[in-house]
Amino acid sequence: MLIATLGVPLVGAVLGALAAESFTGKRLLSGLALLNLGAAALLAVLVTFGKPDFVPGPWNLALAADRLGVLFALLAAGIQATVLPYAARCLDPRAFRRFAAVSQVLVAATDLTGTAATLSTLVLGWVVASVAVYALVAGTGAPPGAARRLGAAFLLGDGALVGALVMIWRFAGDPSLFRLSEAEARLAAVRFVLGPAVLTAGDAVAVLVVASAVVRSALWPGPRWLPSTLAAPTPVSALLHAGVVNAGGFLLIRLSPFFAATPAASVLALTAGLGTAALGGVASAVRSDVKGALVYSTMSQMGFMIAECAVGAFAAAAFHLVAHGMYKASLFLGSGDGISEHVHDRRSCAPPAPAPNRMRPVLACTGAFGLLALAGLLHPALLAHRGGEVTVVFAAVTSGALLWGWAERRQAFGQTPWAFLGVAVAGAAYLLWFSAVTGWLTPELPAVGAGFLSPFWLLGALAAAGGLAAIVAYAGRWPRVAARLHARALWAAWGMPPTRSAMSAAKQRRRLEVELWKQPI
Amino acid sequence: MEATDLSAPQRVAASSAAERARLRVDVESAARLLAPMWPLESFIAVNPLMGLLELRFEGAVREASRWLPLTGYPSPAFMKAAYGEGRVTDADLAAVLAERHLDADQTLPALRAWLEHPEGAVGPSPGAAGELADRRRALTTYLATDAQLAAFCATFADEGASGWALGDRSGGLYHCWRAVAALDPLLRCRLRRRAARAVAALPADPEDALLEALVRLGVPAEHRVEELRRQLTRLPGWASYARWREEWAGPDCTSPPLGVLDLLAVRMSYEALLFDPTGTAPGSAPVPAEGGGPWAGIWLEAYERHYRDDILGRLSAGRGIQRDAQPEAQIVFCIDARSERLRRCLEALGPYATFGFAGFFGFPVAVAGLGDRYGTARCPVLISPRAIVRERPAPGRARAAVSHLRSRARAAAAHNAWHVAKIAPGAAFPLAEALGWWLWPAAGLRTVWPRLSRHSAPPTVLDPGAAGGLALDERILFAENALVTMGLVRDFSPLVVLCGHRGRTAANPHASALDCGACAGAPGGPSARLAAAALNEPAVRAALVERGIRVPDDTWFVAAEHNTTTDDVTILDWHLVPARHGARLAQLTSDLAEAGRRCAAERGPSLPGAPAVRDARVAVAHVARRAADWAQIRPEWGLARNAAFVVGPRSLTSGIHLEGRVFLHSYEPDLDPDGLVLESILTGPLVVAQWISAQYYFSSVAPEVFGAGDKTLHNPVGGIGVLCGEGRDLRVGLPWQSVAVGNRLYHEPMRLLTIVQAPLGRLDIVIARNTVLGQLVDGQWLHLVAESGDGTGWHTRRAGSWWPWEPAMSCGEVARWNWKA
Repeated sequence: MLIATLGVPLVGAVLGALAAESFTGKRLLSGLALLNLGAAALLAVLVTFGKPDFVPGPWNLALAADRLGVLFALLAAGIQATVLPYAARCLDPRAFRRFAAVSQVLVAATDLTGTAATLSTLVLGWVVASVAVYALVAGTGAPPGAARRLGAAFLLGDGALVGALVMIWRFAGDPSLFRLSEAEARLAAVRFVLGPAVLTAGDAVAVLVVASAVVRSALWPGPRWLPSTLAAPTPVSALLHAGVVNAGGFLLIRLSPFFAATPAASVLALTAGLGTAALGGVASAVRSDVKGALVYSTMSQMGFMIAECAVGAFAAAAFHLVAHGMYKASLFLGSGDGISEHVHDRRSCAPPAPAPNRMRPVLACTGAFGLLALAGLLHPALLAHRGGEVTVVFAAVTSGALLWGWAERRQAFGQTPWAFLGVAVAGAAYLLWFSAVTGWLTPELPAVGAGFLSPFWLLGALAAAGGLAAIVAYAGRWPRVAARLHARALWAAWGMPPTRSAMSAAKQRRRLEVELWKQPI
Repeated sequence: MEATDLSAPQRVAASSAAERARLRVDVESAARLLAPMWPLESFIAVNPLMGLLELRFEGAVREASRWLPLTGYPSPAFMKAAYGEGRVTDADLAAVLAERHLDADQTLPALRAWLEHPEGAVGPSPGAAGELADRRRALTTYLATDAQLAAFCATFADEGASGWALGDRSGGLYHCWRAVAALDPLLRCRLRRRAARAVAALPADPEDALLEALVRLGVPAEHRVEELRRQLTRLPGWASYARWREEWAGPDCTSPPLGVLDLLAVRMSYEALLFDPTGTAPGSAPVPAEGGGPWAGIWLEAYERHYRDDILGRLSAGRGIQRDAQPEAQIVFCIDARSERLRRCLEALGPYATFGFAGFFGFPVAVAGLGDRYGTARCPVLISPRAIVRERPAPGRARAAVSHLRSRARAAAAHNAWHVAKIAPGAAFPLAEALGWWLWPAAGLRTVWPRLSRHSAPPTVLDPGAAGGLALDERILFAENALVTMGLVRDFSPLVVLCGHRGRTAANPHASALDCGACAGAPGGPSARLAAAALNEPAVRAALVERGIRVPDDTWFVAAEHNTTTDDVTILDWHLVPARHGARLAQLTSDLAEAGRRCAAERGPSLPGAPAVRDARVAVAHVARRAADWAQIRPEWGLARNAAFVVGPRSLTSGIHLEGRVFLHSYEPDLDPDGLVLESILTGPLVVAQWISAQYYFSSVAPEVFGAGDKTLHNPVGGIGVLCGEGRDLRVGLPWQSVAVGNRLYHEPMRLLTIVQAPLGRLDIVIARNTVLGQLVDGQWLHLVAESGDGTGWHTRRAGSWWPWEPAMSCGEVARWNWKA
């Protein structure tokens, strides 16, 4: 079944390259994508009830399915099963042919990463996925600048991962992913003396792995490659945001034993994660274009996920990785609804009154505490994994925000009991489902080592963010301050095109023409 | 290149009123290069060069190509393909050359050589790029300035799409920009510490700022308009939108006041701050493009002439079809070219008479649907609405209406809750986690099993006479005008159907481009409903009798709506139709349904990706699925391939297969001795049709400038428009997929062929009375062909006079082309 999960997309890639343009070819491809989803689902069932499948290969390449890997493969297959038929109708035949072939390779590479049993297999899958992403963006009509930026970023990120692999090879051989602690122990024994500092090979590996994850998940302070992929067609964006950027989180969970003795790596990941969560959140709030807001929202979400990894809340991070992938891909596919939704909304309701409605905070607080109380009833199940408390608090904040937003629309005010009921039911369903999925995942997740920070750091960050948001909201009373804060966010969100570069005049003129007038049609 | 000290004496202290007035005139004349761009909430097809109307077509295209990278004519490669297929022939070329008194034998080789002309003979590089090309930093500065300004425009113009919007915007773009410009990374990077001081020294008023920038950049007065024009062409999308906001949006518009002058003030202030004024010499006139030239014009005319000969041949051959004395029902359709197919299919099914009339049915009002906060105009943009008509619950159905309103408020509040939670700190994460599990299965379902959402609105009435609506004498006037203009003043059938149209699609930013252009890019159903209500009103009918129009008591006006994406027709307001008409209406409904099926089967195969099976049922199922499909970038072809506008009685065109390419406006020359009706048709619907035709033309031949780019890269901004990929400028016009498949055009780029049946003398008078019409007709913006109806045959209008029509081809060739075209 493991071979089927990996093989079906490869068959699809060949078929895509050969017959994507014909009507039957499209049907067959969609069928294969569904078949792949079925295979992944069956594999998940087998893994839940049976022993993990192990498939050895040549050169120390090997595959094994565990719950985390299967979840990752299931996500890739599920995304592909919808995006492929979507792309078949949306892209022009030639672009679709390329998309069909390359995206299937991407799915196969993602499966390979997910179900790798040895480190070299994982890195192989990772690098192949990078190449496929580059081909996907470069080959579907995006201007060369976008692909170049993405290529450079991935070269950096993959270089870091390959560097880590080489170092592990040198000092600990090619370890099985399920016995990484032994390798970590051997790496920790290798010391380099750099002047006054003493660095172990384990530290170096941990930092390199974090760097690689930061690049793949498009986090600050890594290169900003994700916004430039707006130049790629909608289905490519859906695939990127659902199945590519979240690989960073997967990598950190899989290789977490390397962090056991390196708190610095966790601190690094937490800083990058929380920093991006905040910056991305602000940037996505400021952008008025649909896809631009979605891109920065993804960066923010990835930051949260990496921060969860950094505090050892692996199950919560995996849950977030999957759910957010589905969420964001749906929003991208529906981005064309932007105009009609906006207009319908504007016609339906008056804009919120400038004077704050006193009921809003009351409603929001009641909702938040209500959900906390509800969570109290479900308490034991939720605390079964690391970071469960954090999830409950975040969920309570969300329900408060939802009720706040509801109360902004005066017309619906009379129906607030329905809103309470809706939030309560949705919140309970969310918490139950969360504990079910994380409960399913937890037994096969790596143990959390001593090098990880406490999950309560996330709560601290939430409190800080809430405080800052309150200041920004309050600054509305001083228009000048508000405008300056907004301007800072605005320029950060749109980014600035390079102004100083060493390109030749001819090259720049060409770029001027390309970027301004010769946009691909 | 250093920015100068801002206390330099070039600074104008305070501009005099005369200077400001002159500046405003200059800005206005510079802005005429760009047509206004309506927000996508209600897409309006415009002639992108409508500001240059008085230059004639050739002159306007030449002027535009000085500033924008376009030739304005179909490319040599396109013409070569058309020539190869015989779509344009040597005979057509020879005829055009003869008209221009050119020798065919000498000129034809040169014309053929032009076909081998390389692609991309596009005009000068835009803006100041040409003269600054040797200055590397200047180029990057230009790009960076455009990017910064476009981003600021997107933020400024936004109306609630972003979570954290700009504060008070009533001061205008320049005011808002100046308040925060010191934080702009571009200025900070270039001016370093001086940025804050330099920005603070900018004048507070945009006019002063623009004047000061012009002085500091050393633009001589005689080149000022040219420099301003060049500045505007750097961001043509936002500038076009600003033109709409300033000149067409109306005083009640709530969207932020983006102005052309503000835009220029910001852009030129950037340049004045970033460039060394002594080194630059902006203002020298750009080099005219050499790409178009006379050959392209001759090819285009021959191409158009071929179609003209073809359609006139068919109209002449199809003469003499008389319809039954008293039709079972009379159906009035919009002039939209897509109605032609449905009319032809319906007439083939039974004794039905059809009419063509602008889809707002002559009632210039705004309509507010049930629960809408504000009304939207439902009349051509050339007319401003006279009143707001509000939709009200039908008598006795108030309870259903209330529950509808409640559910609508609930949906809006839930939507807002989602918006707030998305940006609240920390809330976005559980939100994504909770929703992802629901949204993705829904997305999968929507992809494999597309269904349009069903609007279960309660029965309502749209009464034009309700409070706030039209007064009785206005209703009478509009009703009379409508009936007289469409030529329906006697022999009323028991049922007269007014059929508006719309195009329902899913996840389509350009959805309103498929709606009714005569209703200002909105669905035509409400207009049909209120026109029918007015015409059924006893007081209106009584007044009509006094004016000589006797509508029989048993005649009932029924409203209907044609959904052009699926070709089904819905009868609206069933609940108002008297029971005595039930059987007749049921028969008509089933005939309309059958006509719609035939229509869908006819156009189905032309849609890319449609099943190759030639089976009507398959085609019907396919178009229905296509309309609902959110992945579909071409739900229908819309008005692509539109080619001609026919003004005349239906007997002129009935029974002739016009392939849905022709706008049909009813006109009875005998009822209009003084030419007033003809005048209203040629100054209203004709202009709208010309805008549509020109929009399709320019979006086809200059897709980079006047087209909206690739639909798969579209990125909606609020309710305003789309960006394309990484670009930050708004894209105007139609998406590439609306006019082409792959890299091959589907639309045939031609100027509108106007065919009128009316005495030539009457046409001369009407043209002489109306400047714009004269410019359109005699400035080659469209081709006019007319027939008096007295047996003297078709006449074409050329250089202000009439010439008998002579086809370039023999009749055999015409017949051969009939089936191919």
